[in-house]
Amino acid sequence: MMHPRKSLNDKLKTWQMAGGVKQMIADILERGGRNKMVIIGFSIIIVMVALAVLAPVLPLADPTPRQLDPADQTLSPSSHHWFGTDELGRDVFSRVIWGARVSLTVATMAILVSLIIGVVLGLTAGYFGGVVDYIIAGTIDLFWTFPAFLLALAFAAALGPSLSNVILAISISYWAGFARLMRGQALTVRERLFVEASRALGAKNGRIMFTHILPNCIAPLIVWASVGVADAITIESSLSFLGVGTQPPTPSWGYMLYRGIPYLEEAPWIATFPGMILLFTILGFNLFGDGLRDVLDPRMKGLRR
Amino acid sequence: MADLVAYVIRKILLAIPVIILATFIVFLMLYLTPGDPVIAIAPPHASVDEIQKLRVKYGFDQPFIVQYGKFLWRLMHGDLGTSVGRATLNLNVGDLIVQRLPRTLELMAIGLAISYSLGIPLGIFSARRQNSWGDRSVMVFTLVAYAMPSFWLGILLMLLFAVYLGWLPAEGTVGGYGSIALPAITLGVGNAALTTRMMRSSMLEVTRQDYITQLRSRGLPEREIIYKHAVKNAILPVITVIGLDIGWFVGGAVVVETVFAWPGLGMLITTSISNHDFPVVQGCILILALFVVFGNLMADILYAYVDPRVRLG
Amino acid sequence: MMPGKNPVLEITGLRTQFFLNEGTVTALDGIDLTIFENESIGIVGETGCGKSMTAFSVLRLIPHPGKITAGSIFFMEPPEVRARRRQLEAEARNWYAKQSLDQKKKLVATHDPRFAGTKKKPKPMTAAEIRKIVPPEKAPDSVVNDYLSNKAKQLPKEDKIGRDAALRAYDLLTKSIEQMRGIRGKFISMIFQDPSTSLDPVFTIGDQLGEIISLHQNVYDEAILNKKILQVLGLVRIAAPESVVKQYPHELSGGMKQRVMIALALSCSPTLLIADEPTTALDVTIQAQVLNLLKEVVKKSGSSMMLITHNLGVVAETCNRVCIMYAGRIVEVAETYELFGKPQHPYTKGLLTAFPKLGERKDELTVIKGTVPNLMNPFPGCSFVDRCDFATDQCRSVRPTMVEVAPGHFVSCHLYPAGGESGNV
Repeated sequence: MMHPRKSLNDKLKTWQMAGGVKQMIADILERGGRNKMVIIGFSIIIVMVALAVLAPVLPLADPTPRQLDPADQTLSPSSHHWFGTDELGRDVFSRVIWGARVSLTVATMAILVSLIIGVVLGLTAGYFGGVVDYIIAGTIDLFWTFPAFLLALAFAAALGPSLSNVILAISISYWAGFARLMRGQALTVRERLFVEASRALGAKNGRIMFTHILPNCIAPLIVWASVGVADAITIESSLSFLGVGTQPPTPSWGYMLYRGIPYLEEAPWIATFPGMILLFTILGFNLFGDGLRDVLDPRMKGLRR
Repeated sequence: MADLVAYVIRKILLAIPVIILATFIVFLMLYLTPGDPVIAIAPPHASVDEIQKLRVKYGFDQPFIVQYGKFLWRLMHGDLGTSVGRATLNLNVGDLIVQRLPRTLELMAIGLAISYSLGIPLGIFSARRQNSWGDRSVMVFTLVAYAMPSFWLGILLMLLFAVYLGWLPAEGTVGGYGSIALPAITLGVGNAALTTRMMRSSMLEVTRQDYITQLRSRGLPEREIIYKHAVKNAILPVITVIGLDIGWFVGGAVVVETVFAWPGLGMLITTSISNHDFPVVQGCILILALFVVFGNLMADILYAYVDPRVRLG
Repeated sequence: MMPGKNPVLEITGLRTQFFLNEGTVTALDGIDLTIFENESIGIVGETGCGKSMTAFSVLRLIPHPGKITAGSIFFMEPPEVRARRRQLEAEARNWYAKQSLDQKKKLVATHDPRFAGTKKKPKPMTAAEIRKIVPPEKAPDSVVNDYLSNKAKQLPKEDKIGRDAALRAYDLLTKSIEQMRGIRGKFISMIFQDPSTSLDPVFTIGDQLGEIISLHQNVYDEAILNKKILQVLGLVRIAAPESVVKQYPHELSGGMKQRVMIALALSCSPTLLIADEPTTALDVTIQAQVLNLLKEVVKKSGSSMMLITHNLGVVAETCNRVCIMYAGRIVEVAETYELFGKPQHPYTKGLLTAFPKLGERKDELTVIKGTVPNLMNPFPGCSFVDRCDFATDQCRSVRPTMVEVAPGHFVSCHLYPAGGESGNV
């Protein structure tokens, strides 16, 4: 008998019946699909990520040309240069796209590292409790109250400006949020019976931590990660703005904005376009994260009129 | 009241490890610099003798702990080091900071005032009209304002008010009320968005509580229920976040001061970084961190004053 | 204390519905209930049967997206007005009965139930749709109410009783929010289930009591206010009231908080006190104390009480009449002893046998089979049909009416078919 390919919707429905993690994911996908914020945010993310990834293969002007023609400086936007040129004659549009590559790389790497550190520490603290928890939780609290930007600034200033240092600086400042989340989750789940049952069946601690606790937390982790990337982009661009982030000639939105300030009157496009795209990107990640958070909040279900 | 005093004492004691961590991180910064740490704190064109004297003074050949101890010792005597920047060579870092600190403080104070006087009423307004056009527009505003990095907002405001409209001065060095306006608004609006959202969700949650229904069942006028009971309860989570807000403000001040050339600590940090004036950077970070801790402490005390349940914690 | 003759609260045909995305939940499906002066009536039922909804409907505190879509709640209606109103209602029903079929259809069409609870203006029905209507035999309430409002316009201004009757002036559902606020807390007062969540945590007990007292009794002088606060705290037997006044809710025990709640409710001597599961959230040892207190203060103040609970033992202790609710409908009403001694409705019988009694040996707890029905799909027949041992086909398709099987004892079940008139309980 022929089995016709199941449509995406059908697959979703089957997963919903499956119960457990699959059901949870399917539920979220369905509710998320209906939430405007999630859709808009997700679309923005896809667009920006695509641009960032494809930058090298797109027909763009060279963002960091070796030879500069003074005649090209501060040209207004035209069909030749969609976003105009900057004070050194470089094509702003191309630099904005390449800047996306830089910012997104830094932000995602930083959040990834933060996430790993935070998840491991948080799970360990919440799961094992006792002295381990006391120490880790104390550390989390100390780092949590420190403004991430200030910490990142301190580290970036000390380590010296470079891409990897910025990633490192942001990671050190941001892990506390993830750790807190995971610790809370681990603490609640620890109470639950199936962990007991699992332990009774002889599963090792590590296995319990990862197979039981982690899947339940996927959704809030994604929310935090998304908002985290937005924050990381903000921090990275702020650091670049101050001169401790990515160094010229590597295109970075923050730095482009800094260079654009003296030209605000005569050539506002130098600062404006990077700024708008920057805002657009951050907004996208925020919308996605916030929308997802709304979707996960069960209280809002079912009201009408 | 007695429980409040006990709570304050506990909080002060708890703040001490955070302060120690701050000093440790600042101390550590020196060792993260690439190369020989002495170079970072030595004035340019220093002679070999001078460098050697510095090595002894800071104890770079001695164990880590000893160096940290010396660092703390110096701190307690108010010695934050000496500037090695071109323009400020050999000036005491502490003096430089004290000179600039009031400017940052006044910027932050006005920014905080703007933030809360905008955010809290807007949050209440938005919650009362949930899902109406008013609410939706407020939510859109907060989303955009929240996503906007402070420096971009500052630039936009500068573009609008200083360049196109010419109402307000762009440079903070001009002086007078006008020049603090743009930087303070930039700081304030960014945080107002956060405050609005927190207040809104807090109000929504509070008005769903049993005690609000109970108050309605007793015939209290709706105005009193919202503004006396609901707001007082809803504002608690917002107050808890004041500590985090202050942290945000400190970071934001650094950026905003740079955009508007406002002569405060933030501006000092930025120029010092580009001048490779490490001692000044170190000193500023420390003072800012201490400021954050202090701000958090004040916020905690305020919270305990308003919400009596917390005093037991 | 013997219950008086006059009704304090008269609920007829009350329907409360919640309009959700997934569908419409009918929390109360046509409730008829009367509470007399000086009586305590217990409302008993499982979770979700609508007992709390009845209380909130009376106070008109139904949260969005809920709405009261039909019925009336007459509160403190003077006997003359009531008599006149019932006369007018009978007149209306007679008039309806005399109408032709077509005329009846038109009358019913003016109140399209499909648009109940929405903000949308009802589309007028087409002639074809009107022809399809099967008008009920008995005049529907909407038709009766229309008749009465029309009559009100014809009555002379001096006929105050007549106008009050026709305009249903004592129906809480016709009152504005402002008027309701004047009634809440002063004439009808409520005690909530969980005292820990029902008191504002950031105000002292004294503040909260003072707020209510000064609001309803117009007391603004601090000295007098303080005296009254201490007085009412004494009424609920709170020890050391001077120190309690300065304390916050979280500093008090559950029992004390509930006493404060009772004090708040009784501070203005309401005519009707609604107690929503007042002892459920308390320790068993405290429960008895609080119940006794409740009985005592109610007796002293001469209020009527509507006690909502799922615990038959509580009812036996405190109420002189009992009302059993199931799935948003009332299935049986009787005096306490009568109900416990001679339960008629299968559900009541099930409840009584399921309730373990002291001194009785049981190896297994009796359970009523099945679960509470989903209130989203309106059920044409008796809502108990899936769990009833005596269910018949009729039970599935026809809704039973309330019948008086003994003086003051009403049941809604096909086992007791409507012989004569259906009673207004």
